[in-house]
Amino acid sequence: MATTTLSSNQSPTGNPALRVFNDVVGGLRSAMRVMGYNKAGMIASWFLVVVVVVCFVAPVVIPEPGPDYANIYAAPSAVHPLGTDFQGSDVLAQVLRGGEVVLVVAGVAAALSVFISITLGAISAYAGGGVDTIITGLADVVLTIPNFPLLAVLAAYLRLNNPILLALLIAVLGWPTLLLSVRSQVLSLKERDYVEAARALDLGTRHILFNEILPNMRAYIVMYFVTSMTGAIYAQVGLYLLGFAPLSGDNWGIMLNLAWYRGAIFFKNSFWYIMAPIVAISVVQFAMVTVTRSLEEAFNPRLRKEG
Amino acid sequence: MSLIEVEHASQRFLTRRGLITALNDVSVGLETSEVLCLVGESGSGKTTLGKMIAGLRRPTSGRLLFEGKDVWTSSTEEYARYRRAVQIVHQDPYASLNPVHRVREILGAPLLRHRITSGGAATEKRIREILTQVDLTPPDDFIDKYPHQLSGGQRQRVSIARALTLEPRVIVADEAVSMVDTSIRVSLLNTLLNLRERFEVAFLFITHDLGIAKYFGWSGDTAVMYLGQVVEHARTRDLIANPSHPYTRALLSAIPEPDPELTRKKQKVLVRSMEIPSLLNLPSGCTFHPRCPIWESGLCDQKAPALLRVDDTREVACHVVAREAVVTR
Amino acid sequence: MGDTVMNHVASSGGDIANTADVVLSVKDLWIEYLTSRGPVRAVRGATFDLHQGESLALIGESGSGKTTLGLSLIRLLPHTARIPQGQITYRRKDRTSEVLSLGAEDMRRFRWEECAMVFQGAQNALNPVLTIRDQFVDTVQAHRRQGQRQIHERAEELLRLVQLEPDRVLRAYPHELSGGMRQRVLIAMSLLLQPQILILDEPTTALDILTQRAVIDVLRRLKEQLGFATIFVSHDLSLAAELADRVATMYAGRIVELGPVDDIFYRSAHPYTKALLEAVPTVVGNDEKLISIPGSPPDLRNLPEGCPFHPRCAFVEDRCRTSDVPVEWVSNRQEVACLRWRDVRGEVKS
Repeated sequence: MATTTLSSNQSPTGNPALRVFNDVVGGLRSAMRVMGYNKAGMIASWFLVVVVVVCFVAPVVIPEPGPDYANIYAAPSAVHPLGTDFQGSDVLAQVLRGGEVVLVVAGVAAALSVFISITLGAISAYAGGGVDTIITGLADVVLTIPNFPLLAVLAAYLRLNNPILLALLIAVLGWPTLLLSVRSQVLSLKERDYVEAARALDLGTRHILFNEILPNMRAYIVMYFVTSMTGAIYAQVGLYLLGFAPLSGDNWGIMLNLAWYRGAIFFKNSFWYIMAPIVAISVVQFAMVTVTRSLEEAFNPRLRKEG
Repeated sequence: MSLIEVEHASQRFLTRRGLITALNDVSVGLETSEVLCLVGESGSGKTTLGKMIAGLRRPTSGRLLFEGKDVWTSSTEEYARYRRAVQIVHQDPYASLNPVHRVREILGAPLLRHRITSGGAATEKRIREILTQVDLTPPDDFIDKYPHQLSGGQRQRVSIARALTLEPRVIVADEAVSMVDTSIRVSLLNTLLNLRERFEVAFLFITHDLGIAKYFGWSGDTAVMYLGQVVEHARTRDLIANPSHPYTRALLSAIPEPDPELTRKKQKVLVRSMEIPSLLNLPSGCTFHPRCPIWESGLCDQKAPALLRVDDTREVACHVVAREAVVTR
Repeated sequence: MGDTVMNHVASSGGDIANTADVVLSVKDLWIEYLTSRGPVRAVRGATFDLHQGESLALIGESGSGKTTLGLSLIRLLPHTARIPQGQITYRRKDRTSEVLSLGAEDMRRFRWEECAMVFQGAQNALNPVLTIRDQFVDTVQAHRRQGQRQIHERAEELLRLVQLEPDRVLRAYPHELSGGMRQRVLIAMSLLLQPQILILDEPTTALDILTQRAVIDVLRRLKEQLGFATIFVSHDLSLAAELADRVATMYAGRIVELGPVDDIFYRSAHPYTKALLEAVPTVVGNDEKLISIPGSPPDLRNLPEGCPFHPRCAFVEDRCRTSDVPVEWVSNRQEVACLRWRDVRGEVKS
């Protein structure tokens, strides 16, 4: 009944990248299990799953809504449930197709942020001393500079024409807050008895960081990721609205920008054109925040109201 | 040549509130297969000394010798040998095992890392052997469990098994049975004693419980510590039957016994003050003098007593006791 | 033969026939915790009486239910606990009340004025931003209208009784006092309103030996001078040996044996009590053979049929595995829940 070999991804001298991947998957699984305790969290997570699926399927299934100049700013009807925009294009189609880029950019930015902050945070906390001082000093500097204005200035200057560049930029400015959380987590885990035992057994720094400490942070990594995503979505939308981000395509941010600059507020029937992207963004953000909060409650029993 | 020798070791920490002297000029030795119990209350420094011997804290001054060589200035190879030879078992069964690993991984990691076994099958076989040695039988019942699926006593056994993977010469047991149910402490201690017999492992057994020290250390020595110093070091049976140092005598008389007649009739040695001095501000001379029932003004508050051999197997750090020992000899 | 002092203590505490001086009566108390996997019964049918001025020790290890039982007496169980069955009756002079049906206001008065509790890890139960004196005043004024002067005097009196210097302690903040001192402050505070009953949960665990001794001596003296009844909840048999008039041993939520301290220690009738005594070393006593109790602590979610102790019992027989175990009287002062108690006393093992 018992297996006769150690599974390879548990091998202590295996590939770190593979191990990190396993940790993320493990974290997601434990996160899902733990959220069973909290109804709001459960609903929010399933909702997010639906949103993600829709956002990625829609652009494939729904064709790009073409202009229909006879029908600009039309009121909601059977054909156009949310009305049309300044060119007569269907708003609903745009909303459904508009999430993909936003989520992808946010996801990439979040993944990068999390990766940078975990690497630097873990090194900083475990090595201590001068290394720690330098890294936290750097984080402090980036934190002091107002995030969004700097982002806007850089975006304007760099003339971003690629969503991945946008993601990179957001990530580069987003990691310091996460780093401090990661660092304090690692600092506390470092003092655990089982880590001390691992030191006595001479298991090596790499083993201790990747096999002893990081796996205990799996759930927090998921939380950091989701939190990062909410920040990245805000940053993106802000940049799009101000026109500093690439304006091709039809994502939510661009919809907002166009709605604003094409004077949608002056038209009676354009209410949905403005509201649709706003509602979409808000609802997604709200779901993510709920998920984060319920994860936090699950991992920190003191926050729970009932046992 | 002793297996482990601590020479005039001190451990000082600089904190916001001042300089803490956790260990003050401590010298002890441990031979192969020997049992040494370190007994003391909070602030005694016993845990600090234990972690120092386990190589987890470097002394501020003084030396730690393993097989005659200074651990902290030895070559990489020598240090590696020391590192494998001295292991630790912690107090808290709920904190000493990594909750995300199964027993298989906890025990497999050191085996594979140090290439003691290679490949899944050989490693698993060795894991089973070790689990049997710590009385976790049948091993198959435990090998795939996570720590939260085990009881406190079982977790401590896994901790011990983990320490055994590198075939150590010394195990530092830091209050290893204090957080385990009283009714199963003895069986854990028996497991440790068996290991000592079979594998000639020496034990540094840290505890605040003299009853446990008496049981475990019966054939070995006990050192009583107070505020960072060893105040008495003798064979356990002699120490318990006939304590010399006033602090040891106070401790023994103060312990409540699980026997109503015995405990209500016990002669209590009174200490003059209930307050334990802070490590930031140690008393002058003998650190025990403010509480000592037999202290002498002018002597005990001026000069710190050295740890002196008063007979073949006993050392005491007390002016009064040392003087009387000389007189009676 | 025996000490006359001890005979006196044993008989006055253990005489159950005199029900007039029962101050607390617990009958068939069941307590369960709601968990995601269904209710877990932590206390099963506990029954005992506490007499005026007597010390009762509830001794047990993990899973015994002793802490749950202690907390239930002043209804401080967490939200997830339920009491599906049982009665807790409190009596003062001629008036009785059912503790479990007291309203919020009455309950508040019951706690601290009639029955006070000193918690485990009590050293951290003090408010770090108030001086000790302020905390004493707060405690009293929350229950009674009394002038500060009066409270101060009483506080001084109590602090002296617990061997602390009032001047020094009243002015101090909790962090300026050692763990042992804080424990004693809490004991003094619990006596401010002159309760009839004091419940102490592991009062000496985590304390140093010499501090433990001071706390034990203080508790003994307080009992002699103030005459309140005490319930100690502990895993430490030595504490019971020092301070208890009667001892109840608990296992898997049941009281398996209850009787005067000498009977429990020297003439125990339950295999668990006996095994526990054989597993704990004395220090200055003679060399005894120590034996651990085999097996693991009980899993309350998964108790075996019949007697919960049978998997680990040296006296086990077939009927222990299947039948319920009723409580029987060993003498008019000692009761036990074991089918083979006669053999246990006479040492005839299976």
